[in-house]
Amino acid sequence: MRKIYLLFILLILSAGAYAQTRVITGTIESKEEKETLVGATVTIKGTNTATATDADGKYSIKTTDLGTIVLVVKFIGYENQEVTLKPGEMIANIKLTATNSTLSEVIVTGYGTTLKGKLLGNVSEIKAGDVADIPVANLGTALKDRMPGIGVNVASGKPGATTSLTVGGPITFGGGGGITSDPLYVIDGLIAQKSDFDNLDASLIETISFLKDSQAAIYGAAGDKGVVLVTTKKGKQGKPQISYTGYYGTSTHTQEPKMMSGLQFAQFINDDAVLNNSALTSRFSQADLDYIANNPQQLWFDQLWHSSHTERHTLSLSGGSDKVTFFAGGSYYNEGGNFGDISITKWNIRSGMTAKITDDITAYVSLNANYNASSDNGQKSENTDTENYVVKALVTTPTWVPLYINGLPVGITTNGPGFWNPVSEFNSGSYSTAAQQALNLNTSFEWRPHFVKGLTAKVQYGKTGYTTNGKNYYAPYNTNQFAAAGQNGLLYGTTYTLKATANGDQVFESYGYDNNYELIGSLDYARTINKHTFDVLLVNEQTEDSADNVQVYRTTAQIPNTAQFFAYNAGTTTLQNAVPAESGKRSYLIRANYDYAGKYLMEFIGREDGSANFPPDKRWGFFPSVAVGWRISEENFFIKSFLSKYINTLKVRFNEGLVGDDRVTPYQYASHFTPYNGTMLFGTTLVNGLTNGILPNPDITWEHSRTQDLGIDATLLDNRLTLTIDRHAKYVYDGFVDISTLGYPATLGLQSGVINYDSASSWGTDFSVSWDDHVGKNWHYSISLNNLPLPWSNGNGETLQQYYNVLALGQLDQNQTIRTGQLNTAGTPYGFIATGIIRTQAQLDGILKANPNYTIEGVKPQLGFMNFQDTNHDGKITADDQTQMFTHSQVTPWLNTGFTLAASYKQVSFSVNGHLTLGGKVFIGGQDIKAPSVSSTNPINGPVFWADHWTPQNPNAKYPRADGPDVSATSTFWAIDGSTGYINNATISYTMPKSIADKLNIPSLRVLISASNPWEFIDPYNYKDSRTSDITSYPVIRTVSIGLNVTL
Amino acid sequence: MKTLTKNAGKLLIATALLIGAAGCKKDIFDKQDLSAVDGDIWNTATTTNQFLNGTYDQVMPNWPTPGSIYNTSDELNNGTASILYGTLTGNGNEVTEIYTKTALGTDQYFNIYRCNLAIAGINAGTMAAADKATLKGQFYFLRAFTYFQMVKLYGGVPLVLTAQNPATDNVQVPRAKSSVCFAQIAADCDSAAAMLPATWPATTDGGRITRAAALAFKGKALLYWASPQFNPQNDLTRWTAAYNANKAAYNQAVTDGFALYPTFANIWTDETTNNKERMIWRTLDATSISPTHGTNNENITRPYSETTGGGGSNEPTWNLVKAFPMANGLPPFLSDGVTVNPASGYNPEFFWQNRDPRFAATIAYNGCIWNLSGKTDRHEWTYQGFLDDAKTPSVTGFYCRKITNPALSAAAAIQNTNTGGGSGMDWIEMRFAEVILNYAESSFYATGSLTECETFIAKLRARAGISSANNYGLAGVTAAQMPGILLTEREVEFAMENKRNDDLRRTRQFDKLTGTQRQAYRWTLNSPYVAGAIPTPPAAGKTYIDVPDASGIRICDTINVNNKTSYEKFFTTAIVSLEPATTPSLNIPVSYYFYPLPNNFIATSAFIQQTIGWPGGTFDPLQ
Repeated sequence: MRKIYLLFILLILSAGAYAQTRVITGTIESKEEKETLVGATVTIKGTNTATATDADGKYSIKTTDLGTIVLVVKFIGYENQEVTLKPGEMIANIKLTATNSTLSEVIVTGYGTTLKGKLLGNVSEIKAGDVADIPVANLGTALKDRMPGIGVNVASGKPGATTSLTVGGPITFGGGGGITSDPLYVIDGLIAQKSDFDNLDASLIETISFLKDSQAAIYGAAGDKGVVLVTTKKGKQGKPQISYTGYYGTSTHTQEPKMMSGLQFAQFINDDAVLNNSALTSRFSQADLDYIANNPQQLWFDQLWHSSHTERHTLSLSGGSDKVTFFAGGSYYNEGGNFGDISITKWNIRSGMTAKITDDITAYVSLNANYNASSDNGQKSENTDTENYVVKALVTTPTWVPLYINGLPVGITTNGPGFWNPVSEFNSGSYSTAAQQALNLNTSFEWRPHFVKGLTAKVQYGKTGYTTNGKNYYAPYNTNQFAAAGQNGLLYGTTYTLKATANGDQVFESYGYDNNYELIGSLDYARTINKHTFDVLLVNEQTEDSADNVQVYRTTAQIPNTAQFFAYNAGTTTLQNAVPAESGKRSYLIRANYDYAGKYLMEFIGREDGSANFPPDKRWGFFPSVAVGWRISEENFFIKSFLSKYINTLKVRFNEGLVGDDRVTPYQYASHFTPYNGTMLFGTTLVNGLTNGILPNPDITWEHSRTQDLGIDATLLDNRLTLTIDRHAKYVYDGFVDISTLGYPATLGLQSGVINYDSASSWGTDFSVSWDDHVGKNWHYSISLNNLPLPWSNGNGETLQQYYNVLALGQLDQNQTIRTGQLNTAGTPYGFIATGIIRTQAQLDGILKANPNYTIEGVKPQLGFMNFQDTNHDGKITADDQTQMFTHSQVTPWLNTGFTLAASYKQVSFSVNGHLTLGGKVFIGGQDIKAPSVSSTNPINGPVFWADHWTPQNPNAKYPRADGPDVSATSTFWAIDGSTGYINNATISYTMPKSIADKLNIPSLRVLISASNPWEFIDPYNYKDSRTSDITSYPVIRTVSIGLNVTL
Repeated sequence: MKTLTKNAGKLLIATALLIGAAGCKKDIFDKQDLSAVDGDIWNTATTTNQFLNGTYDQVMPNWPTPGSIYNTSDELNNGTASILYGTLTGNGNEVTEIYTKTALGTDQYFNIYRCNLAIAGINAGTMAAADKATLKGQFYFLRAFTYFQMVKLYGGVPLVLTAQNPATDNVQVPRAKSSVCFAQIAADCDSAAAMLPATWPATTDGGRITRAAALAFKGKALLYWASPQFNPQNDLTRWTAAYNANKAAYNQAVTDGFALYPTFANIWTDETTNNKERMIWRTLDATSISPTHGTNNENITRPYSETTGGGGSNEPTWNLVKAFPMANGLPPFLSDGVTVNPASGYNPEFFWQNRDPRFAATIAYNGCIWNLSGKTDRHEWTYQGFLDDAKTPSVTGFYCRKITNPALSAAAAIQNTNTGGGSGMDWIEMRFAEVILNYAESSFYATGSLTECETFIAKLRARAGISSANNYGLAGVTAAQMPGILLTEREVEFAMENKRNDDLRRTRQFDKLTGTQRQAYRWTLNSPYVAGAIPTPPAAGKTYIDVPDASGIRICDTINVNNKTSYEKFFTTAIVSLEPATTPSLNIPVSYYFYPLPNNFIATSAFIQQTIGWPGGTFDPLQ
């Protein structure tokens, strides 16, 4: 009965409520900072009733529901919170907890940070943790295929080979003169050198941001080619923690180039000799062939290549109180090469302390050091990045050439510096080493006066000193010249003579230093008044740099096998180079941000830069940029609409700005006089002379780049799906172009240097998607893809103005095209249109019947030749018949994406990063299409596909006769489908459950297995790794390592 | 604590502002290129002089390469086939004096730029007027010299007289008329002469240009402009200008102490101040001052046996040998070059006897005494198969004695490009003798009178040692004969001095060589005399004359070539052609008076025309 009564009352109440309204009010503030939040949305769950907090963080919302209701509070950067109000509750003060969701991430954007949700530019960020488990000598290597618009180019698989990054598709116009496509590197607010970035260990880094568009205008001075911003780890409040991570791995090649066997190559030589009616002395006899077949030698590659090891150890210590926090960390990296004595060693030490001196003043001081040393066997004139002599000798020496006969290295004259054998060279004691050390101080004071709310004054000072030293010892050595054997003299007997290789007979040392400082003063004033939030930053900054580098050598050893100067002829002492340099730069910067209720965002950046590289009247450049953004998902109409059920956040942003570059050989505006490299005699007196350098360019100034970017950021489906689309355009003008080889009329008389002339534009779309979800409690997985294609958004570029002279116009060859006003044809090289192999006599007769005077490069066609299209219809095939073989769209893949997949189940997690290209064309080129050498006394073997070459007995061969004209020229014959897929790295790790860790009193323990380049799942070439340019490239290296991470 | 806050805060604000204030200071940009001297070299004589020294080294000729394209003629064995047999391709890729584009500083316009830059720089600089004058004068001369080297080959070239700045100047400069170029060369020489001293201190500045040298060079340039190469219509005013210029140059040179060196044979070896004949030269040295400033010319010119693996080059042809007059000044042959001049006393068998003493100073022939490498009574043998020189025998039968230094040892003759050595003999680009002959020639053509012309030729003949009887052999010479006499006098006086090619082109006699041959004189041993090593076993009945007998005497050294009986017992002689069977005679087209500009030079500007007579040529070098 009582229940019925109650029910009745409720009915009455609810009926009454229908007519009544209920006003709920309250304040929303952040839990941690206890600050009121302006613009937070408050919705009554299940209705479209919503409001937002005012400038004081207060809200009021009306409802007619007098019963129990649920308020949903949302604010960017904070966890959504639901609060249940019982009937009659009218006041709800709510505290929001900051989230770790991506949208609330703080992104480093240069001279400060911003919330990702408020970001107005095309900025990619990577957490160093994502790449920390990948063992790499240069940090950049680990960033491959992880972010849209970031290019990573590694010179070779050699440990420590040069790695270059490009950010946002830089446009350069070729030539020397100091022009670079490198981005600007900034580490903890200070401009750094590329080597500093290369040497950083991921374990000591928090995040890396890439500014790809006019956001880089904040670094207007050199932001033209993008900016890489690194934030290193800082101390965190709490009990001191010590963390150790160690990795140990082994490395070897992913794939050995597949070459013709000795017998195949010998038969190849004989086939050629038969077709050319060559003398018997140029052929292998049957006895020789039998000998080769019955005495198979190992490839030199197999004999000299061995797996190597990689190890890496990092140790860090962090902790602090509310007044002082500290961080100290170090890393050691060592990687060996796969032949000879190649190795690279790196040390990296970073330490920092942040101290709150008073409530208003915070001081930060950081001391960092890095050290990098590499060494190899140093054959003089060998490319240190690619070890071109050794690799070529290892791969292309035919297997009938033994590496040793009776234990003595066999000398050859191809593939190297004259007569040599790599083993003889390794044993000579020659070496070349290079080391670099950097010591960096980074310190700042920050003052936030409590009496002026929102004001921050900061002074930051950084000083870095670099020293480099190198030592090369090129010792002469002997190699054994064995007597020729066999009918054609290509085999070897057992008698030998010693033959000397000078290898420069030299000891060389170089020393250099580079000192610079950077001083930054800034005032920042940030306030929120009602719904208006603004932030004005004023910065001025100056930097100076001075450097020198001296290189000395002596030749002609007087005491053999002694790699010291004293052992060499003092009279040969030569100062090869001394390169002192100094530079200075000053900048003034203003940045103003404004947003209204977190919905409408605006930013203005203005930067005035002066560079000593340019003449006084051309020194200053002004680089403004504006950006606007609209967070649609914060609008009431959006929140109220059904869309909000699917779309969590949606932002449209646009920016346009001007950036510049001053990175070019300095002082090109001035006349330069250097000692004349020669002397004159007058009477009995030897007099010195002076000569002048390049033509001074008094007008040299900033290169300019105008960028536009329209972007959409969205998160959907409960923040599981994240989309970022950027449509970007770039227009570079006053582009640096080194015209020393294009030049002015010869009558000017002096070689010219760099001018500001060229212009070009480019456009494209960055589209990246990621999906992050869990299945049940234990399964968590994510997929992210970058550089996905959108059907309507092809990117390309256009050269608008290019410096050329009449010389170029009159003597164009197929590789020098004047492209002014035309779409770029990158990837569509000039070449012949191949029409197929002339396989049968009937085909040959047909060709000659149609045109009896038909020739290919002056040679009358023969059976087995590759035939080509006579594009200029002159009745013969010559270099003039080369043409653009494919259209841009034919060579452009329809998918060219980097991907990252991650999954975890309870304590086990797995991640993999790779690349997938579908469609397009790639070319077999370089050494691979050069006909295996058939005439030389030291033959060069070719890839295995050459075994299937045309002979009268094998008319349906896939490949033509190698001795035909233009077989090795670029032609459509050598174009193949460009689909490629490979994994860059994969990691699987196991973290000890907390329960066990607690028992063992270890805060955390993790073990892992990581692999670099583990798998190439689509290889368009079936004889080599697709990431090498040809068979003689240093192989791609696969490293498998195990790792252990302990935090105490 | 509060005070600290306040003060530290103030400090920070102050620092932040200070950085801004510091920005107004200029010094952060007060940087310079530490790897080079900046443009401020024109205010001190030392640095400007250094720039000048570098320019001298670029501009001043060194020893010519025998037979190079600019040193190919009928006087020596070496020669460039494309010139001798008329096979220049027409794209100018052979005649690259003006432009090779190999590197900075290899092209003539780089030298022009240097001169232009220096002249402007000195004008704007703050040096004392006297320093300015001497420095600038030399640059004017070097500019004139450089333009002349181009114009004599190509005709008018683009005339650039300022160090151009592409930002403000029109750098597209078409070819200037030849007349304009010559006028500028003359004007530059005048400017130079007005500023240059009469002499330079010999030890520190010997080899720099003097005022007389500048005027002499002007006379030479105007002589070219008046000569048939540029003046086929024989415009007399040009001859008058040349005459006046050479007269002035001669007078100035005499005033300033220049004179003919008394001993013709020693002009090249006496490098002391006693030698007043040298007007423009490059100093070389291979020993005391700088071992790296020598020449290898000695090594290539001497017979193989007196060198270190050298020899074979710079061999005089029979054509040159024939040209020398007799000691009485009369030519040995009549104008057909074949018939012996009966009045001359020439003996075809002993052609070396009774010749102009310059003959013996210039030509080494079979059997002459030539004390090379300090060896007294050393016989020179050029007969076929002579053992000592068998590896690189003389192809013409002659060697050049003139520009050699017999005192040098065989080992010292060679120059190594790295370590130096070789001969330190200076290269004389212009001798006072040339002023005299330029004077003589322009006097003859300008005035039509023989008197003054002959007086000046006589000066050289007197110095040479020709008998003064019959006015040094010039008595009775007609005006019609004089051009030939003048050309031959130059051929003889300047034999092997890299002047013949220029003179043949200048006088339009080069194409007249078409159909002729360069000739050699061949001595062959008569049986039973045999040259060379003794074979094992020796052939019966042969006498090996090149090998010393038990007493150390070679039979060849006992031959008296001036004794008819002895001479004829050993030798049979013949005159043979030097031209190969494939190109049996010379062929020099008329178009070679103006060589084509290199295609890659023309291609650097749309405004530079090719010369008429060559593919696509529209530029008339005769204007």
